[in-house]
Amino acid sequence: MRKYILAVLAVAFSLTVNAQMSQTQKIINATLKGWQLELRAGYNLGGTAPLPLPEEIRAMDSYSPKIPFTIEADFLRFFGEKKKWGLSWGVKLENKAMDTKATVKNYGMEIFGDEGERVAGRWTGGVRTKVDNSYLTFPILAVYKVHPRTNIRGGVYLSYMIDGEFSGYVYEGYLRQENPTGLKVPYGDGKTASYDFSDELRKFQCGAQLGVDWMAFKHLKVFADLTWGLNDIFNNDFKTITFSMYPIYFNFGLGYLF
Amino acid sequence: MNKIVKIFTLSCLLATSAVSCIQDEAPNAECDIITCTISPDSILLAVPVVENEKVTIRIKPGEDISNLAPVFTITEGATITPDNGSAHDFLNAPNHTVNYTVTSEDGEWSKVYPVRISQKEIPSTFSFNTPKLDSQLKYYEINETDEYDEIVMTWAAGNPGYVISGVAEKEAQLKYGPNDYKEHVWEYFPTTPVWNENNEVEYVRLETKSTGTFGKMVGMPIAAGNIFQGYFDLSMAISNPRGATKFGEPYRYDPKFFSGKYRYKAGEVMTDSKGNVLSGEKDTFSIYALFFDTELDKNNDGTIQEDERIDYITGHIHQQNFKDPYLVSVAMVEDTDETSEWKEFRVPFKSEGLQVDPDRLAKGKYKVGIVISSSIDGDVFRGAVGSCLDVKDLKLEH
Repeated sequence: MRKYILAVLAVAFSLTVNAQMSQTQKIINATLKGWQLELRAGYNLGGTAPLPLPEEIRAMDSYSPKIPFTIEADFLRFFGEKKKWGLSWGVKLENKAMDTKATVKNYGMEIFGDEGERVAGRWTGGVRTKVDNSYLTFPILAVYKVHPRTNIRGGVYLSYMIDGEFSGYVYEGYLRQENPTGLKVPYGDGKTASYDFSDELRKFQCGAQLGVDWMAFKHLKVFADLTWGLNDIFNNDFKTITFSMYPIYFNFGLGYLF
Repeated sequence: MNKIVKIFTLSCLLATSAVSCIQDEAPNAECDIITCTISPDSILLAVPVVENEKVTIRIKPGEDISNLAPVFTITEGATITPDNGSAHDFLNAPNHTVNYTVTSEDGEWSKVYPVRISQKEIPSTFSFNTPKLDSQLKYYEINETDEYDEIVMTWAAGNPGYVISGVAEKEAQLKYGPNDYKEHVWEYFPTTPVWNENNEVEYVRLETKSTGTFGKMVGMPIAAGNIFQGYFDLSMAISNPRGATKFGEPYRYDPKFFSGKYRYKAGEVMTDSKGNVLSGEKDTFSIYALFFDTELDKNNDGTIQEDERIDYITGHIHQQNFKDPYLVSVAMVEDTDETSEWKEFRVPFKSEGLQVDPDRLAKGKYKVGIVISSSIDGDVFRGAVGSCLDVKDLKLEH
C-alpha cells in the first residue's frame, strides 16, 4: 500500500516540474468546466485513541507516527460574485498509522486464541499498540477565502478501509484472571502475549475535517487539515476494548493547483 | 518545509495533549494478602504460604496456637477485617481457621481468606483422599486429611497456571455445550483425581496437555501433569517456570525408601518448547523424591546466616542433574517403561553426601519433596500431548 502511494506521489511531483505544464493545464482546465483541480501530497500525523483517555491509561511511554502518506485529488469551485465561498470534493488515498507503548492499570481485556481459547481479565503493565490502516477517503468541504491566498476548509469525510492492522502485545506486567480478585499472573523477562484485532476494524469511517491552505507560490499550496473520526474504529459488536477509539490525525503537506 | 513540519508537529502535540490528558489514577481495585508473618518466627515450622485466596501457616507441634496474631501486608489502600495483627484463638477455631476479609481501596472488590494454622506433621503414606475445587471451581486441589478430617498436607500442582491458557474451559465447552460445561472444566486440567465407585479417590491422573495459543506465545506449548510436595508459585510461572515449582515439606524422619504404584502411556507426538515435532523420540515420565537440609553453614563460621537458609529446592534441580549442596539423598524411579497394568516401585534414597543431624532432624530442619510428572522434560516444555501417568499408594519409609 505504502509503495503504491509513494509511486503516485512521485508521479504527482514529476507532473509539477513538467516543462509541458502550461499545456497540460489548459487541457485540464478546459475539461473541468469551471472546477479547479488540486493535487495534494501529505503526511498524516496523529493517533488512534480513546477520548478522553480512560483512567486505566496511566502513561504514554512512546509514540511513533510511522510514515503514513496521503495523496489526494480535489475539485474546487468558488461561487457568487465575490467568489468568497466555494465547495471542494475529492478523493484521498491515505494511511493512518501509529505505534505506541502505554502503561495501563487494571485495564479490562478479553483475548481469544486461534483455537477459541478465551482469556479475560484485568491487565496492569505495558501495552504496545500498532495501527496501520489504509483508507480511500472522500471529503466534502465548504471553502471560505479569508485572504486572496488563504482558504479555510471545513466539512465531513467518508472513508472506506482498504486494508487495516490493529495489533500489539502486552509486556512487563500482570494479568488478574477474570477480575481484580482473580489469580495473578505476572509477565516478565521478555515474555509477552500478543493480540490482533485487525479483523474487527470497521470498514466505513466518517468524520469531520477542518483545515487551512495557503498559496505559497503561483500554483503551490501548503495545507494542514485536522481530521477527526466520529465513529469507533471497531465494529459495534466488538467488546474486547471497553472504550471507543477514534482516529485523530493532522494531515499536512503540499498541493498543486492547476 | 522543515519549519512547517516542526510547527505542525508542535501544534499537533499541543492539540493531542489538550484533548487526551492522563486522568487521575483510580483507587486500587485489588484486595490481596501479599505476605504473612507471625512473631516470634521461631514457632514457625515453615514459611507461611500465601496463595490467591488462602493462607496456610505451619506452626511447630507443641507451640501454643490459642493466641496467635498474624500480621499481613495487603494491597495498598485496602482494608482487612478482623484487624491486622489482632490475636485469635486458632486452637479452638473450626479447622484452626480464621477467615479474614480484604476489601479493595475502591470498595468494589473483596476476598475472604481462610487463614489456617497447621500443627500436624505431614504423613508418610499418601492417599490423595480429599480433593477440593479451587475457589473459582475450575480445578481440583488434592489434599491429605487425617483421621480427624484435618488437612495435613496439600499437594502442589501446576493447575493454577493452566487456568490462564483458557484451554480447559474451551475443551469443556466443546464437549458439554455452553450451559453445562462449568462443572466439567476440571476434567481438562493436567492434574486430576480419579474416584472409584465408592466415591473414594483411587489415584491421581497426570496428563500432558496442550496449552493452546497462549501457551505457545510464551514458549510453553505443553503443560505436563504434575504433582509435588511444596508450593507452586504462580507469580513466577511465566518468567521462571522451573523456579515456580518449589519442592519441600518439613519432615522429621530420615527416609530410606520411596514406594508406590504407577501405570503409564506415552503420548504420540513429541514436541519441543517451540512446538516443533521431535520425530523418533518417545516421552517418558519422572517420579522422584528429594530429601534435603534447609540450613548449611557454607562459610564455616559456626552459625547459620539468612543467606545460608533455604525454604525449597526448585524445579531447576532436574536441569542441574540433581546436584545441590543442600541435598541429603534422592530416591529415583529409574524403570520407566510404559505399562497398562499397575506396576509397583520401591526405590532407595541414595545419599548425596550430606549427613543427617538427628537433633536438627527432630527440630524439623529437613524437608522432603516428592515430585511426579507425566513428561520427564515437562519442565523445559518437551513432551508429548496425551502422555498419561496414573499414580497411587505413595509411601515414604523411614
